[in-house]
Amino acid sequence: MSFQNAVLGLVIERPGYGYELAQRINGRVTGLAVSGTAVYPALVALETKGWVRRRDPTARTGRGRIVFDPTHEGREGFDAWMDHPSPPLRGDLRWKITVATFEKLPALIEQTREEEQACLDRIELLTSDAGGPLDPLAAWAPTGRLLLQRTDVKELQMKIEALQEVRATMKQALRQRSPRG
Amino acid sequence: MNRPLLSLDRVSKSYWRGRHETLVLDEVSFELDAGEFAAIFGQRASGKTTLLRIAAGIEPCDSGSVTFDGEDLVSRARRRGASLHPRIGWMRREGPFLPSMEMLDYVALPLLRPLRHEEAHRLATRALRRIGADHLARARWRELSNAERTLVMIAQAIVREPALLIADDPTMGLSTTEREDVLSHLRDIAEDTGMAVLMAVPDVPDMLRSHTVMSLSDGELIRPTRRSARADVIEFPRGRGESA
Repeated sequence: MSFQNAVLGLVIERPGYGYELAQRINGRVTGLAVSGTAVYPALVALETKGWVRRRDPTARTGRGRIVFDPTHEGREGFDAWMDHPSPPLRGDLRWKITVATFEKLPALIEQTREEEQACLDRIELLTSDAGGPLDPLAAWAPTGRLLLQRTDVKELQMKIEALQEVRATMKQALRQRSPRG
Repeated sequence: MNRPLLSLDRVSKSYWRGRHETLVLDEVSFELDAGEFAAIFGQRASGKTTLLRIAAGIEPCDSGSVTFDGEDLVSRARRRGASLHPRIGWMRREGPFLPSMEMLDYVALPLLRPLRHEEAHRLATRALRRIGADHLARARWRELSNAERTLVMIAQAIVREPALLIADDPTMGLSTTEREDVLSHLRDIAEDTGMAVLMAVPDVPDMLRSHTVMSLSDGELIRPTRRSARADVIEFPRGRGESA
């Protein structure tokens, strides 16, 4: 769903066809190599929901480029996705940041707070059973459990730090932009 | 319903450097119960130390309220000047003035004015024993490792048996094993004595032993949801590669 909504966001930003949309996604996410064929299933799903439509409705297959335009319902669906929190820790926020506009930043700032809170909840859950000290010479199972717990906590710390950086940058962008209106 | 031991409500604090105002704390609120071991995670210069100092009554805030054990610390600071509340223990980082001072005397220092020497020593011995450091009673500061110094500092902070212990980065400069040892002691202090422990650390794994973890950045404090609601909101990530 989140990838589909990101594709929708790009279509709203500027109508496009599969390969071109894939290139635009790849240009925004370092290390990602989305192919044109990977974008088509998302476009077809969006078309089925009535959120995008083909510019030439007779174009089905072949070499011709099929350009997709957003519909009114698609714009509304995209706004709802961007403005409201998604289930935490699932990666929707990553895609929202990728296709955000300045107008969406206040909602996203709030969502970074909620995501950070979900990370803290997760840490609290993990730390509720801190276990004993690492003792690899004893049974491996408790050692493995502790190592996994610590790895999870470290990953959550990195995520919290990333969210804090994203939020600080968004707040700074809004502060600097507001005097100019 | 029990009232919290420590309560900060919409506390704000700014510093001025020339004509530039830096907002360090922006309407920060949290509560701490007796026997709770809470950690505040924040990167460098995130305002952790300022928050701890305000919670201890050492530093005034610009707005908001700080209530400790039913007493308004903001009004107290206005009446008597900002100073450490007698029922709050603050973990220092410095060693003794006199290099020749033995650690038992150093731990007992906060008690020497109100109590007789023998009684102060008795309580200092008990504080050292509580954290497994009674063997350091006759040692001198220069003879101690960083981990042993940390334990002595904790003993001194709890020697008056405060209701709240505050520690700013208590495991700084320690190895992983030493960190675990110190944090285990802090958790035991909270759970065995009912003393609340509030610490600030720059590293989340340091908080593995704490009951509650909060994060501070850009003046904002974010708290986990209350435990009763937690199970409903937690969902494990579907895939490592998906997380933002």
